[in-house]
Amino acid sequence: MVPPVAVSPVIKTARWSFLLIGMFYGKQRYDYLKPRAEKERLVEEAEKKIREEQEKIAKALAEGTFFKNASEC
Amino acid sequence: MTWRVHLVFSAAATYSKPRLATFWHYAKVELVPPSPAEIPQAIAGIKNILTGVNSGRLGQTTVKDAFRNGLVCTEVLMWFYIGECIGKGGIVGYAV
Repeated sequence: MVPPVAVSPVIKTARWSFLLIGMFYGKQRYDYLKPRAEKERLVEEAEKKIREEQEKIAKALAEGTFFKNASEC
Repeated sequence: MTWRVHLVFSAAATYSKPRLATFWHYAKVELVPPSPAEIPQAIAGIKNILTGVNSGRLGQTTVKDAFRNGLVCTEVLMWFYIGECIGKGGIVGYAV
C-alpha cells in the first residue's frame, strides 16, 4: 500500500475552516429562511382559499346554478 | 425470507471492513484537522502564496501544476458545501 501523504498545513487548515464556515453559513441561512417560509405558507393558504371560492362561483355560473333555482329565461 | 436479512448485513460487513480499514489508515494521516502547531505554518504558507502572486512567481507555474492546484482548490472548496449540508440539516435544499 502506498504510504499516506503528508498534507500541507495550508490545505488542512483551509479544509477544516471551510467546513466550519459552511456549517455556520448553513445554520444561519436556515434560520433566515424558516420564518419567511412560514409567512409565505400562510399567505399562500389565504390566496388559495380566495382562488377556490372564485373557481366555485365561476363553475356555478357556467352550469347555470348560480342564481338559486333560476329557470331559464 | 426475513431470516436471510442478517446474511445480507454480515456480507456487507465483511465487504466493507477491509475497505474501511484502508480508508481509516489514510484518513488518520491525511484528513485530520491541523494541530495547533501547524496553524502558524499555514498562515506562513498563505503569506507565501500572496507574495508569490505579487512577485509574479505564480505566473510561472506550469499548466500541469496549475491543473493539479486547481483540483486541490476545488476539493477544498467542496468542504464548504459539505459544512453547509451539515448546518442546514439536509443534503438537498433547506427543509423550511
